[in-house]
Amino acid sequence: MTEAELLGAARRIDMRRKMGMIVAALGGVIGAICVLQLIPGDPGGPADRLEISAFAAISLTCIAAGLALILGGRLPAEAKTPRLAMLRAEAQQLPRQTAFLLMPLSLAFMLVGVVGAAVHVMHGEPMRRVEMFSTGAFVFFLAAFGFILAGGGIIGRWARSVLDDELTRTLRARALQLGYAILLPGVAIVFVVGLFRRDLAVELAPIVAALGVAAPAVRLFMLERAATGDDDEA
Amino acid sequence: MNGFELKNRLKEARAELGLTQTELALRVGVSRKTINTVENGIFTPSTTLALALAAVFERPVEALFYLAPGVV
Repeated sequence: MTEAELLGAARRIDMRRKMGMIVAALGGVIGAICVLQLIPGDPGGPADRLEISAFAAISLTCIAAGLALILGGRLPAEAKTPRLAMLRAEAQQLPRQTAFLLMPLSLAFMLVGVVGAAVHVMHGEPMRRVEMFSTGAFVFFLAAFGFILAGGGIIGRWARSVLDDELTRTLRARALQLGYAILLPGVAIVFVVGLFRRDLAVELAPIVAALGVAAPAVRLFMLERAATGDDDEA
Repeated sequence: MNGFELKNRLKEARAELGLTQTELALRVGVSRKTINTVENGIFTPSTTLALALAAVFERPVEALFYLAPGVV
């Protein structure tokens, strides 16, 4: 097999594993919802048993299909050279970094649901199933984010040390600068608006937060793409 | 620095050794993108990286990097 063919095969397997993870995660989410339906006490009333069984079957099918996709693809032994590993890791770097920057935004939006659940509990009301789900999802995401921040994750230590080099750090710093440039005046504006129109400030806050996270993610994407050229053969 | 631009002979040196950007990146422990941007003058490498590159090519740093009059 030529290098290009090996790289193509490796990318197909990577894509297959990624799809497997998405399908299995979807199955996990559906399964978690089914389990939550079995917990009594929701003011919305009990869910239909047949409906729960159907969704549980869908959940199990998704998990099985996802695992089959993840475990099914075998990387050719020749594709495990450091050079190909570097090229593969580089191809995964950009979407990974963008996703990493967008994670806090997801957490910020999830926090709204968690605060709602906390308010219900504080007032002595029972927690709704949907609130249990949003709280669980928040905790799960927070743990995953912490795990990645602590140096864990699906990307290997070797690839991490090579890819997280001075160029990457510089580009990330430039992207984050844009985030600060949006967030600092944005928060100040929300604060001043809040002094006069509290309702407007509440509406503005998520927009500022979303811009403050999404803009650096887009900037990083553009900077990384500009830095990526073809591997110049000797 | 005002009036000067950092230039390099990295591409020529790499071609002399018959290395690809990826192979050079692996030797100095950075990503290929870093080598690509240094070669094209987009990114100014740290002293550590410049010394590591010089060590790979077994020549002084000044033989790889030099200052040329640039836009003031």
